[in-house]
Amino acid sequence: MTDCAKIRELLSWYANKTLSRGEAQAVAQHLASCSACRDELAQIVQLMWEFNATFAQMPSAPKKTWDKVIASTRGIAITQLDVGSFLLGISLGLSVPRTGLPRVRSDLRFFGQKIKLFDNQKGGTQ
Amino acid sequence: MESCDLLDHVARNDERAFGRLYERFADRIFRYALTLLRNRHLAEEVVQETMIAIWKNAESFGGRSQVSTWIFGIARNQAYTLLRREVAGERRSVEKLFLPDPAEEVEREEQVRAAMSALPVGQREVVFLAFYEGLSYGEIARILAVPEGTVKSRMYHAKQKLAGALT
Repeated sequence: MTDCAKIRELLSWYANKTLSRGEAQAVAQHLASCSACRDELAQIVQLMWEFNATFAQMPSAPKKTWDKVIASTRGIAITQLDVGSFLLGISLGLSVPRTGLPRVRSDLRFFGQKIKLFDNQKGGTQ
Repeated sequence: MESCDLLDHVARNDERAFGRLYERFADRIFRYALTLLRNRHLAEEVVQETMIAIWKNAESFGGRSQVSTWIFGIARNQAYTLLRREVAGERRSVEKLFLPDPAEEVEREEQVRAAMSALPVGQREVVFLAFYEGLSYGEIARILAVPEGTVKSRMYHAKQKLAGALT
C-alpha cells in the first residue's frame, strides 16, 4: 500500500480528531507535502460537517419510550402500601416484571430522604 | 456526572441515575438504530431493549471501553436480533431516515440524505459512528466486533461512494 493509500484510510479519523498522537503526527507530516491528500481531507471535512448536520435532523426517541422502559424494569405494580407521612414512613411494594421473579421492595422515608430497606432484585437489602 | 459514574450508580439500583443515562443516550441509540433499521417502531424497540439490558447488566461493565462503546454495542446486538426476527417473520417497512422539513429543505440536503440512505448498512453505520458520534476506528471496531482494518476499509469505500454521489 502506498503512503497516500495508508494515510487516506486514516483521514476520516484525523478529521474527527480521534487518532492517536503518533498517527495524527504521521498524517500531519504527510499532508504537509501532499496536496492530493489535503484535497481529500478537505472533501472529508465537508462531508463530515454535512452528515453531522443531517444526522442531527433525525427524529428523537418517542417520549413514551421512557415509560415503557421504566415499566419493564419496575414491572407492573400489583400493590403498594404506604404507612406514615412524608417525614417518617415506610412503603412496601410488589410488582411483576415482564420476565423473571416478582419484585418486592421496601423503602424507609426519613425527612424526605428515601432509604432502601429491601429489594429482592438488583442490589437486594442495603 | 460522567457516564461511567452514572452506570456505577445504575449498577447499585439508582433509578435517578438510570433516568439521566436514558436522557443522555436515548436519542443517540434511537438514531443509530434508525440508521441501521430504517424503521421507527423497531428503533424505539431497540432503545427499550438496550436500556433494559443496561439496567440488568450495568454491574458487568468492566470499564475496558468507553460507556458509549459498550452501550452502542448492546444497541447493535438488539438491532440485529430484531432484524433477524423481522426477516424471519413479517417484512418490515423501510422508512425515510430523516424527517422532511419543507421550510428548510434544500436540494443539497436532499442529496446528502439520499446518498446516505443508498449506502450498504455496514458502511452507513461506520459513517454514523465516526461522523455523528465522533468515535475512533478502534471503538467502532469493538462495537461492530470486526477488525480495525475492516472499519477503515468500510469508511474508505463509503467516502468514495458519497463523494461520487455528491459531486
